[in-house]
Amino acid sequence: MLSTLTLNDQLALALGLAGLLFLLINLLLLKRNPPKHIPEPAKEAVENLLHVSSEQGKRLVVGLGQNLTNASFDLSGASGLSLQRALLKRSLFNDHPLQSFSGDGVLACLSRMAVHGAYRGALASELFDGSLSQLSGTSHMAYTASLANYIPDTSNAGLLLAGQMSPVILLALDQADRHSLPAISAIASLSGQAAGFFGSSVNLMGEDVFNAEGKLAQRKASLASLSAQDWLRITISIGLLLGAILKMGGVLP
Amino acid sequence: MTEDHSELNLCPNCGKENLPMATRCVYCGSEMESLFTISGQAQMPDEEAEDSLPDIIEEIRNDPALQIPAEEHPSPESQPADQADEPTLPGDQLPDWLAKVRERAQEEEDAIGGLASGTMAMDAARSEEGSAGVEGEFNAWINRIREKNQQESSVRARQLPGESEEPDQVPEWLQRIRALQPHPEEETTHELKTRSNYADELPREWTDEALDELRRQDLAEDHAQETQPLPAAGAFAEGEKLPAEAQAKEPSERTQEEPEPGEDEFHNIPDDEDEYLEEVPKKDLTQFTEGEEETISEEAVAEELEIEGPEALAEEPELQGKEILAEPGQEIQQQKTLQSEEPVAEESALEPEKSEKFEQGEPESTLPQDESELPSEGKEAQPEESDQPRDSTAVPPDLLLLRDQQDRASLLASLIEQEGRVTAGKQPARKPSGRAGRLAVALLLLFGLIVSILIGPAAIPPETPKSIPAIALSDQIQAMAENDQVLIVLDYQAATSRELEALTAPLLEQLHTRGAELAILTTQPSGLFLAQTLLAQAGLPEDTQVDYLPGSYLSLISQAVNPAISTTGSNPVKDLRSFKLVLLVSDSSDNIRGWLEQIAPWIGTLNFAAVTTQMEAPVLSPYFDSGQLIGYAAGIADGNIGVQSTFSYRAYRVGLLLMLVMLLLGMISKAEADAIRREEERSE
Amino acid sequence: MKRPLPLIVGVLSGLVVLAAMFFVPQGGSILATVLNWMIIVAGVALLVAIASLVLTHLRFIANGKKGFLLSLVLVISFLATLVFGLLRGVDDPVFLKWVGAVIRPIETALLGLVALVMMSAALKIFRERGWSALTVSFGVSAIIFLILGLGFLQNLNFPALNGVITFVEGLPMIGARGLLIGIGIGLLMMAFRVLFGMEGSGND
Repeated sequence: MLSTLTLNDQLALALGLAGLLFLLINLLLLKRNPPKHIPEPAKEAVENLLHVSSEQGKRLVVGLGQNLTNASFDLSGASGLSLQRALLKRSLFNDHPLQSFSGDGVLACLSRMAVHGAYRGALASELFDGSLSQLSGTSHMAYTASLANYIPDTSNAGLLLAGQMSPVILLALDQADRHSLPAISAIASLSGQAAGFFGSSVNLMGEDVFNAEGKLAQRKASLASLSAQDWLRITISIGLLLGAILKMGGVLP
Repeated sequence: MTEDHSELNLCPNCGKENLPMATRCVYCGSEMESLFTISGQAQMPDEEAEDSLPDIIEEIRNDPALQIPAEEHPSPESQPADQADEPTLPGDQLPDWLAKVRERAQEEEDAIGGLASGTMAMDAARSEEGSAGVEGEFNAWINRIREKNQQESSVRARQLPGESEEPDQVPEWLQRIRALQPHPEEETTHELKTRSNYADELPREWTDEALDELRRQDLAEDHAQETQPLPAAGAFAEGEKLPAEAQAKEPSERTQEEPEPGEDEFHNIPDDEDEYLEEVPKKDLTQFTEGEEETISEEAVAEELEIEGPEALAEEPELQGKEILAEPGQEIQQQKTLQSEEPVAEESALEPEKSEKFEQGEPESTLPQDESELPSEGKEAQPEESDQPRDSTAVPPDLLLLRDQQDRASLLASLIEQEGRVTAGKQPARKPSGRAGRLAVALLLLFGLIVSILIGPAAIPPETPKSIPAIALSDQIQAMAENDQVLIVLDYQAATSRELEALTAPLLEQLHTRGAELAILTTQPSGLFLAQTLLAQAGLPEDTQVDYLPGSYLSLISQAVNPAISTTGSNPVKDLRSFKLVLLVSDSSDNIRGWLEQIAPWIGTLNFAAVTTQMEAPVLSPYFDSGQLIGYAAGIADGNIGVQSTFSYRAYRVGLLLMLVMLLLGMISKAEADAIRREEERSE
Repeated sequence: MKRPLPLIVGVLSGLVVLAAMFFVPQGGSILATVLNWMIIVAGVALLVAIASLVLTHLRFIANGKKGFLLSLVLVISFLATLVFGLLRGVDDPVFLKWVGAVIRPIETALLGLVALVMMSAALKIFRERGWSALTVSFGVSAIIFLILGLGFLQNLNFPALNGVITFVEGLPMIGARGLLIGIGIGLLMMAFRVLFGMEGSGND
């Protein structure tokens, strides 16, 4: 029961409820006021990659990571799916459609569903090809090796890494660099973000990783959650300051 | 526009037009005599010269050698009709002086002389200036009119005669179209915006559909009886061209008939509303050059034809839909293009038929009656703003646009909007990194490591201090009593096995020595063969059971949440609560977090410790601080027991040193490059 | 359009699992059942994905697509491992030894490559990213921690110095926690979007 929860869990629950409340409020606000376009690094970076892909008639390679249910169950492993969907809608009829690689069985199936759904939604189911969303190695090393092997293809326009990945993904980023392929990394793990920074890529950090899709697709739900995210961040900052003051004042143990 | 510029003389001083017989410029007062002095021509007596001057000028004007090339006058209609009537003299009938002029013109590049070249230069300069300024203003003006026209149509779509006042008698097709307005408030905004563009607030009566129908009717009549003086504008686009004579004469006739055609020609509303068109600038038309005037007047004819007799047209609005049925998807898309990129009107001004199609109001007004005949893609292309239902209860189900379709439409709109837009932060073209540099780095690293290994084994000095979490872990292991159950979870890959085995093996050995009961579990298939090496290094019996747990975390969570499952299922670990310590050997801090955040809360009494790579260790620090981890070991120093034979501490240090050197080199090279650049900038 | 039934099932499942987490004694069995279903679904999904992968590469081979030799290697390796595993069993020491003998050196070599790539990246990171607060702080902290990693300072055994080293080693966690909070917030919002069907199931 609730009483058995630790202080950490209670705090987490409170934050979760606050987040939900903020999300609902922002949804209502957005319903009344149309969303405005705010240029953001995350969106700009992804859009640029998409433009490169469209203009050059080349393929965009998306790495969705290798951990959704493989080891620990981590929803951040699915953060690339929404981005993939948003990109797909914009590049369905490109010369080379978006190609995605997943290192997890569930992720691969979800990714394939997203690809199929996008084509079906555009009434172009006949263009759907199963190879557009492939399973690659199910361990992080095998996944990276598989992805890096695909990068040198001359018909690739760019590399987008979105999801849970280990720092070994640096190999794929290096491969992209060697083949003059622009890369964006939106990796949901800390060590992966560090690797993304060290590699030659536009690196998204922190919550930016989850923002790219919202900024790109401009869906109300995504935009509302972005605003709610900001509110929650402010709340947490105030909470941390208060906690520090109370701790210094001896109120908190 | 009514003046014939070809009969005027230009002042060499101010460039303004003067009558042919003027000897002084009426604008600046300067002498015009020089105009009549022809270079290379002997001076004639005044009287004789006066008599022949107009003829000379006329000859010069008609002389092909002195004419501006034909390309500079793109519109053939602009050639004056009287010029065509004048027969050119055959060579043998030419006067002597003209023959000489022509001869010299052929011989010398600049033989046209200062007079003609000055005049031509003035003309060219004027036409350039005029065409730049006037054309810009003209285009803007045309765009305004077309935009207005487009906005008008959206208003008129709901104001067809006899319909707006009696909603009950609204035809079914219109009801269905109106039902496509899901957000009445947005629509209202649009209407207000539309109206604010007009000087008046009067309702517009004629829709573009009606105009389109009129054109078709005109065309049909034209086909049937050739008595109509002018064919419909649409006929131009459909390949039916006016006879050459008509093309040449019509504009001039019209310009003669209408002294100020600028105001009258460029609109598509009935004449009785002319007075309300205050925003049409008069001066625009007065600045037009000859060719442009012709073009404009031709367009004006087309425009005027489009609006002729609109009353007759509105009778069959349903026919519009039928015509549109031919290419609904395309049309909607074109409209979207037009909405997002207004300047397209510039091009469409030259194609009345096409532009008319573009401008047929809001998309809903172009929807066919039978919506089922529309391809879904076309439906999806509906802009979000226009497909919000005004009254959801009245929306026929087959006309409802799905949210997804609206999303796609708005996506399409945004894509079109972004077309050709250079976004900020666009990545520059990347240069591939040099292979030679990479090879040099690789060779340096390999050389350093190989040499350091070849020198001989180098164990970590025993006095090297361990980290605080590693000391805490060591203390916990020392505190283990005999028969204490310890769960060892192997959750790493082959790549990191060397590092982790070097850390874990001594710990397992200690636990085994203290008599603890070890249960080894792997959540990765690869853990089955990796465990063999680990067991060998730790000196554990080869037949030690290593269990693979399918479903890994999910299975463990369900087991932690409901202990009854573990006793009944085929789980190798019967009860997590029976263990005193869980040692997580993982190369992923995320996996360790998963244990601590998703499993540990359900088993309060369980202690967790971890062995991980140095790369992942910092992430575990907060969990150690909060007590969720009783200790962890990471890195070379933490696994130091002073006797590792498989590990060269020297090679490790050499690797770190090389990395340090590379980082410093990178910083220095960047600083140097900056300094060079600054120096260059300074020298420039 | 999202089909309502899958959406409802998805939302309800999520809510039930969340509720069961807070009412453990009552909801424990439900939670365990749902998690078991999920394990089965995840396992089947992996099988489906593997089958799809093999079929895709078989198609590549049949069509002679560029790089089909690699597809051939993949299919042969897959079939060999499958047959061997089925015949001898996954616990068979010989089978495990063979698999380990292939995987271990390959993965270790790749990790060695990562070290090489990091060295090369260290050389050019400042040239590519220029001077900024992030790159400068990264460079300085990397140098400090590399020096600490060498272990010379620790071996001096000055208590005051050890205190400083301990303090410095804790500094990265300040930034890391900030990033983790950011990731957590983003994840929370994403979870809400998924939970309430705002994210889309993928096949929408």
